[in-house]
Amino acid sequence: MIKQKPSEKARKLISDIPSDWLEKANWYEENKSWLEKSAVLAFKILRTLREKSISQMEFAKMIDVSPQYVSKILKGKENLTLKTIDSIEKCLGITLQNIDTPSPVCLTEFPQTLHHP
Amino acid sequence: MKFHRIFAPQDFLIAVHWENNIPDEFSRLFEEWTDLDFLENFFYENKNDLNSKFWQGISIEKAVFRTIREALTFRKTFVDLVEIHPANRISHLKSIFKPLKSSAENPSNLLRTKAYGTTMASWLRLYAIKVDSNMYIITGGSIKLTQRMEDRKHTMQELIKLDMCREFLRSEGIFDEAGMVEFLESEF
Repeated sequence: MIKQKPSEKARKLISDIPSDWLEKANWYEENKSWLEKSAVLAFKILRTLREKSISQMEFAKMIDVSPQYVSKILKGKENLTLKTIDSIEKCLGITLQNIDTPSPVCLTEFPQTLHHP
Repeated sequence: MKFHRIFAPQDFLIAVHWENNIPDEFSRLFEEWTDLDFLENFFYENKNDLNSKFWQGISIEKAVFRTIREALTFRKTFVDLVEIHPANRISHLKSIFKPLKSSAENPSNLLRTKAYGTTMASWLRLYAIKVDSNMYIITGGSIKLTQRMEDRKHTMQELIKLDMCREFLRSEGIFDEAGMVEFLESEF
């Protein structure tokens, strides 16, 4: 069979931008440990938003961040700060992470002197 | 439609880039398969399929995290291809891509193929046109929860994309690796 010369149309169809998949794959592997945690948090948030019929736009307003940032959080690929987690927990009335904080009783029971007697 | 080399500058795996504002299919799919927002929504929309006899009512939560796990190991299969000696690549590609089950397939001419996720009964699929034993063009992929691609709109769409790509290659007179290489090198 005689091969045709690539057409002008064909020349325009070859992308000169390399695929970024390998870069993304390597990034995921390097950050896998915290990404797994971020995914768990994102899933809890997504289910709560669905149960309470809260749109992503409304959620962004509730926690006072941009819709773009909410989109990142919900993809499960955002390294959330404790401040953001706390804000989400308060707004949605859920617990995302169990971090034991000392109760007031614990604090009063702590010795009041700084040095051993 | 544009073509991306997955392992630039090598030509053995190419992905179609259907639209300017989204990544090529290979990159897009692995992004989606690790995207909680996409996955939660997808399985919510297709929860009836999860309740089928085959999937035995697996929960949306389990489905989401199972997909992420599968996608990571599936992607690793392709990362590992870089390390494989070119002489052994044909057999590896052949073990990854299997012909679509269709009576209308001509085994020697731009075969429509699929690649499964690596775990047992995986629902992840990549779809590709086999240009030659050493060259595949990925046209798309999906989470396939039903037996036939025709059963759901999102998998039906993948059949259409396979056919569109194949028709394009034919219209450009590309029937084998040499034809595709000539096409890819026409940019220079």
